[in-house]
Formats: sequence, structure tokens, C-alpha cells
Amino acid sequence: MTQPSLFRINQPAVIAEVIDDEAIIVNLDSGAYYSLRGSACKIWELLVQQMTAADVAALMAEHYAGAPDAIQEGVETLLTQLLDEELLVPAAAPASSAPPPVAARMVSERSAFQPPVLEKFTDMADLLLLDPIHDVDVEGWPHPAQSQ
Amino acid sequence: MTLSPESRLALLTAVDANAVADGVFAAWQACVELDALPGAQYQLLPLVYANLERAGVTHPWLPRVTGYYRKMWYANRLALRTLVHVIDALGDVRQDALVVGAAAHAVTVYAELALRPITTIEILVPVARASAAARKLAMLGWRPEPGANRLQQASFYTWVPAQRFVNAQGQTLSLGWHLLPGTPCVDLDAAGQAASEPLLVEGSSVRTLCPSDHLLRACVNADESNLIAFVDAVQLLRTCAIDWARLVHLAGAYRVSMPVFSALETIATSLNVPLPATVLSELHGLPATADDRRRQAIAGTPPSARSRRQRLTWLYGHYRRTAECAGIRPGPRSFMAFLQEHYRLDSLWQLPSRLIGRLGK
Repeated sequence: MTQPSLFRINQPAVIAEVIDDEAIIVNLDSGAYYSLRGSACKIWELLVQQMTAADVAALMAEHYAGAPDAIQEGVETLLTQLLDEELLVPAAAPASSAPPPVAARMVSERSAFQPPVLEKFTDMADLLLLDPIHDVDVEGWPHPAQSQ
Repeated sequence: MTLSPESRLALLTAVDANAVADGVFAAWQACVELDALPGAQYQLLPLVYANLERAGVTHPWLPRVTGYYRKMWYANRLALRTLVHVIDALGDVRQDALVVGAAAHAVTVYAELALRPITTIEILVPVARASAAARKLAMLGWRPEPGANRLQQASFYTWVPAQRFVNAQGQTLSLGWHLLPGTPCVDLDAAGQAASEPLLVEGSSVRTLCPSDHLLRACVNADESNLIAFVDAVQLLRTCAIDWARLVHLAGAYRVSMPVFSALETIATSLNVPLPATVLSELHGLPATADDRRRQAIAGTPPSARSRRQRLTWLYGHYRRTAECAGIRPGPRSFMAFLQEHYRLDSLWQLPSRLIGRLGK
């Protein structure tokens, strides 16, 4: 199936913010919490600023070390997950053709491309109960410590 | 009010944008352990995160403090959504409902929503509408905690100023029917309603107190065990035009000048936040009764550290004040009624064992 080329955050049901190179996303209807780190966070930032998946893959290939095909596959896989979770929805063409600010900000890291991972936490009651200081692992909330 | 050195440093770290550069944060974290942080300081962590982030420092606390900020970003957004849902569902009570406390502060006087933990959603309704509002909440699946059996009794709303509810997701909501829980006067509640202002929350129009009444409330609530109320007051002072004449008048008329003076003096002297020159002297010059002085003396001790005598004096003072506001003559019968509602007892026969349990500790 051919995917639409541009996307936007599925507002108002979905909200998102990037904190310390981690995109955190919440579906307010279900209470589900999502986390994107590393390459996944970069891909998210580019997609929500209305770059096509192909352009995102090309830009990631410029900035990360890795086979272009693997990078493209990683971008498309993540995009499919974001659409399946209804975090992104198709968007109309942007008013401006200028490159998104995040693309201009990206520096050439040339670190190895790690396939993007979408982490999902679904139990709102558990998330609200989890103590962010005492009950978490080294990554902090919402990653519970092993003993939890 | 004398704050402990740790509390003062925690507050300064939270409210002073240069706290990290000035060494305040280092001094605070040298005398506390993150794992054993008192609850009152715990609530300041999102502000600590923001100041660490602004200073660009790496610190061993950072991952978990960042996690706390992330949790508040998540929990606060869900709390606002729940708040709007509840307000909309209140039906004809909606027009008289005021959003107060953490949620109102988080969306108005803090730079970011996540900086002010909304641990409890607070809604105020006039006492005459409180029973109807409690019924609506029960219909929405909110469970009263503690006690459910007294919510249909008229005397409950006379003697108790608020009821806490919990939903299936573990969110908490306080339904209150007095602007100041320790001063349950309908005249003061009406004054708060009359001066209330519109507030947009998640695209929905609600009402909240005017900034001066928010400040009055924050000052009355601020103490060693509720440090975030000091921050609320500081943020109100920094971002809102305060009607000082109104604040001083209400503090005097409703006999809360001592806690208001104490909180504002602490803010001016310990947290270095400037105040209009005459306000403190005006508040200090207001008359106070012996009861007011006794209560203020006890207020300096955190509830968990109070002696049995202090707890009894506090409880009896609360009864006297409530009776006075309600126009009820103090006496054994009304005191028994007060204790029954205060402890949410089905029967007065349960009172002796409850008193032994509560005051014997």
C-alpha cells in the first residue's frame, strides 16, 4: 500500500514534546505513553515538521553511518508503527517549502545508525503510581527497576 | 515562620534561576539524599530539573529528576483532561465551580505545565451545591476516600470543608466548598466567587479565583510541610497584579492575617522576593485573637511532629472556628457532631475507639 507522504501529530488526542533528546508522546484518550530515543527521536522530529519519509531517510543517511537501504527501512518501519498507533495522521502539503528547523540544526554525527525503537507504556494507573525517584532504573521514569 | 535550612535551600533552588551557578543547589544536595527527600521537597523537583537544565550541568541526580519532570508532563496533561471532563459533567453545578490549587497555578503562573505537580485536582463549589457535585462525581466513578457514608448528610457539609475522591486510574480530586478550609465562611466564599475570573483549560472555559485570592490561599497553606505553596505564592507575585488592599482586607476580616504575614515575610526574607513596603506592616498591625495566636504557634510545627496536646488544641480550634463561621453555638453536642463528621464515622459509638487511635499515637 502506498503511504501518504506528509504527516502531522494526531491532535488534539495526541500530544508530544522533546525532552533531552527523547521524544515523549501521549495519547490522551487512552493514557498510553510512548518514548522515542536516539535515531527514533530525530526521525519523529523531522516527520512532524512535515518532511516526507524519503527525505527523512536521505537526511538520516547523510548524518549517520549505515547502509542507506537499512536506514530507509528503519524510517519506514517506524513511520508504519506511528501510523498504526494513530500518533501521526496524513497531512496536507505545508505552506512553506523551507527545510524544517530541526534539519538545519542536525550535525553530522556519523555514529552508527541504530534502528529506531518505539517504546510503549499502556497502563495509565501503573504509570501514575510509579515513583520516579525510588522505583525506577537508571533511565528514570517510566522504566521500572528490575525489582518492580 | 522559621524554615529548616534544607527547606530554605530547596525552595531557593526551585525559585532562583541562578541557584545552580550561585552554589545554592550544591549546598542543598550536600545536606539531603535524593532517596530520602521529604515529601514537601520532592514536589519541587520539576523546578530543580528546569534549573539544572538551564545551567547545562551534568549531575548524578539528573536522570531521575528528569524522569520526575517527564512524569509530571504526562500526569499533568492527563489531570487537565480529567479536570475538564469533570467540570463539563457537573451540569448545572458547573457555572459555580472554581478550579483552584495546583491545576489553576500550573496553567497560569508557571512557565511550563510540568513544573507544578498536579497531585490533586481541586474544585471549589458553593456549600449549597456540594452535595449535588459529590453525587455527580460518584456517577462518574469517583470513589470518596475516606468514607462514603456521610456524603448525603447535611451536617457533613457543615463540619467538613472538602472531600477527596479517587478514580480507577488513581487520579485524585478534592471537592471543596470553602475558599479557605480552616475558615469556612460563606461570606468569604461568596467574595471569592464574585471576584472569580475566566480561565481557559485545554480549550474549555472554566472559572478560577482572582490572583489576590489565590495568593491568600497559597499563603494560608504554606508551611514546612507544604513548600510548593511558597512557590505558588512566589509565582503569583512574579506574574500577576496583586490587589494588595483586597488581600489585606480579607486577611483581617477573616482572621488569617497571622499565617498570611508569616508566609509573605518568609518569602521576602528567606527567598529574597520583593514585596510592597507597607504590606507586611499592615498585616502585622491587624488584630489577632488568642485562638489565632495559639493556632499560629502550632502551625509552625509540621502535623506529623505535633504533640498530642498540640493536635487536640488544633482540632478543637478548628471546631471552634467552623462553629463560629456556621453560626453554631459551641457545646458538647455540636462538638460530637463535628468529631463524627471529621472522622467520617457512621455512629457516635465509634468515636471513643477512633479518638484513642488518632490521638493516642
